[in-house]
Amino acid sequence: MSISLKNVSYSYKGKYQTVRAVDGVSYDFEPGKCYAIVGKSGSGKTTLLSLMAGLDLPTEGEIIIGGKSTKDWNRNRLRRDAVSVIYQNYNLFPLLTVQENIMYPLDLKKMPKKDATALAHEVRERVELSATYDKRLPSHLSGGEQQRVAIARTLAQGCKIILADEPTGNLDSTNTRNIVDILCSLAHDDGCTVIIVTHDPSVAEQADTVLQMKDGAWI
Amino acid sequence: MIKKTFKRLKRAPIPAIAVLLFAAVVSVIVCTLHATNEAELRNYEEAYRSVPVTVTVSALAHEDGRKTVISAWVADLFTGRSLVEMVDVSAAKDYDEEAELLRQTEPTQVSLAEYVKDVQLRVYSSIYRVNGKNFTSAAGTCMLVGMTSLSSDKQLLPEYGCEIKWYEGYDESIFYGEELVCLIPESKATTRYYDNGNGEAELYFFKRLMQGVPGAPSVEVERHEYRCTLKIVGTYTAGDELSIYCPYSIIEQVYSGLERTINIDSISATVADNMRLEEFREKASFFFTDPTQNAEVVPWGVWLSNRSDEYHHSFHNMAIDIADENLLDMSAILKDSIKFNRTVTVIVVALSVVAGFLVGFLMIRRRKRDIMLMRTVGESPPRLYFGFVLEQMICIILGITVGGAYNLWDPIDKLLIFAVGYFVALSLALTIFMSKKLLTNVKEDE
Repeated sequence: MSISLKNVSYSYKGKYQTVRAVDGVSYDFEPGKCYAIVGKSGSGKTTLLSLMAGLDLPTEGEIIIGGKSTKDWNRNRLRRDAVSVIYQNYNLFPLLTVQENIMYPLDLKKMPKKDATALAHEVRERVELSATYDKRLPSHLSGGEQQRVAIARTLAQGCKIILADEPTGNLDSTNTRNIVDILCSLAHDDGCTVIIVTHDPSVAEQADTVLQMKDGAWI
Repeated sequence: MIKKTFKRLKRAPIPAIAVLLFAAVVSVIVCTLHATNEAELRNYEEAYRSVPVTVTVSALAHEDGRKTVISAWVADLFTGRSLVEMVDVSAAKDYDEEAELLRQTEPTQVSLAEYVKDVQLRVYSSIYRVNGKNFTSAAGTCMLVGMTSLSSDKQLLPEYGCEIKWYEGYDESIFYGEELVCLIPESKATTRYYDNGNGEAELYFFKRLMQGVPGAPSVEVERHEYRCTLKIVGTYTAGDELSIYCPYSIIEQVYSGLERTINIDSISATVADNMRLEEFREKASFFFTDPTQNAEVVPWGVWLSNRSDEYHHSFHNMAIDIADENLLDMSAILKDSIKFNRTVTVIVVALSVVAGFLVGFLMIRRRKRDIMLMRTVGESPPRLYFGFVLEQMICIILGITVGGAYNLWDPIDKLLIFAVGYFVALSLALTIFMSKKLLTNVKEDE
């Protein structure tokens, strides 16, 4: 599934003035590729990613996902079926076990429990976590393990656009490499559109295309 | 969803227990206050019922000073022994219309007997000495008091300083029966003033009906007399010592013997159930005026069913005095106390709603991140809302049930107000958090 940015801008009211976080950005992201958006803190990369995730609408321009503007998408459905986001702080449900976290989006899609369990096992194995993790709570996992669970949840969700916001920000170099490998394989092997926001040059190196942002615009 | 909710509550038990305990404490306080109020109300009813309220019917004087009389049917009205039928003729403009109304209207059966107990009826009587079969001379007068129970006259009760000496085989049960017996004053027994020498009181009742025109002497048109002999079965020491107390049935015999032309001095009774006092007052106001007020003149007609030829027409020439001052004083004090307790209950319920509002808001605020996470994976707002409300309401309902286990149902309205307040707080908090831009939530989380 492709994603296209058409002159996208986003402003929000800051404490003292209106801040233009994204300023007239356009780009066509192709399926099967892994992109890295790099830039300094405050350059607007996370805001842009959030707009692509359907967390809000651009104040100007539009984002086309699967041939339809995000304005026309039911945004709950967009987040559930089309776009999946991996966050730096993993964003796992603290009171759900690993398996329940992975199965959560499947429950939203009303998948039968038996099928959902089988799929959860499959994606868990794909991120190289053994069955012993199934009953553990996120608080009992390391950062790398939590991020793997987050990726497994994304895989289970089955979205063709995967957005990752600093997915390796809290991980060591070994885990970073593993996580980025998994994300890139999702693009190359599964045909997903993977967009990683990062300020880590080593992560950017692994991407097919690197886009740089400064003051809300491409450089 | 319920299964998942319980699983979530089990994994984070402390906040759930905190909400449950909060609801339980509120429930205990509300239930206790309610129980206190109910107990006070019961005490009030008991106290209200226990205060004796006496009613006395007396005859008013005519404008020219002549005293009017209380008719025999009034006694029937209080005792219910004979049926009283009444036709309201207040709408009639003259006697012809009144007569027409009486002919055409179906009489209403009336009785005040269900509202009163301990009825007492007083009639003047002459005491006669007996010489053979004939009365010879009047020894004096006395008041014959017919009673339905010993309590009908407080003067006879020990707490009022009265001592009754019953002769062998007799006691206060005489007042429930129809035996020709009586109680006489101790002083009159020793002087044999009321005693004819055979342990009996000889009483003689005499009634003349006169008719006349102004300026000419009245002519006797009817004469009735009745004599009775009552066995003396005891003596008393109290009061005016002029009264002879007898069963009420004897009075009935007397006014039957005098063809119901008897002049009753007064009728008194005790209100049987003070809770029905106002009902009684309203019914009684049709026949009697309040002695303390200038009553509006209302005409009415009465037939006695057992004497269909007898028709009474009156303009409130009888007054009823309901001695309810003590009752009103006591009632005012207790009502103030009940009002205070109710106010406290209202304040406590209001405070519990406010506290519930805060707790509910805090509980949702604590789960702000969960709400954000659910929204980012595409959870629909109604499902999200239902999930959180269900979780919290389970805790609240369990808490209310545990706290009010011994008395949950009676104050359920107040507990529901609390639960609804909590529900509103949850809904409001969820609406506020969900109306915030998700992007802002995510940025705040970072």
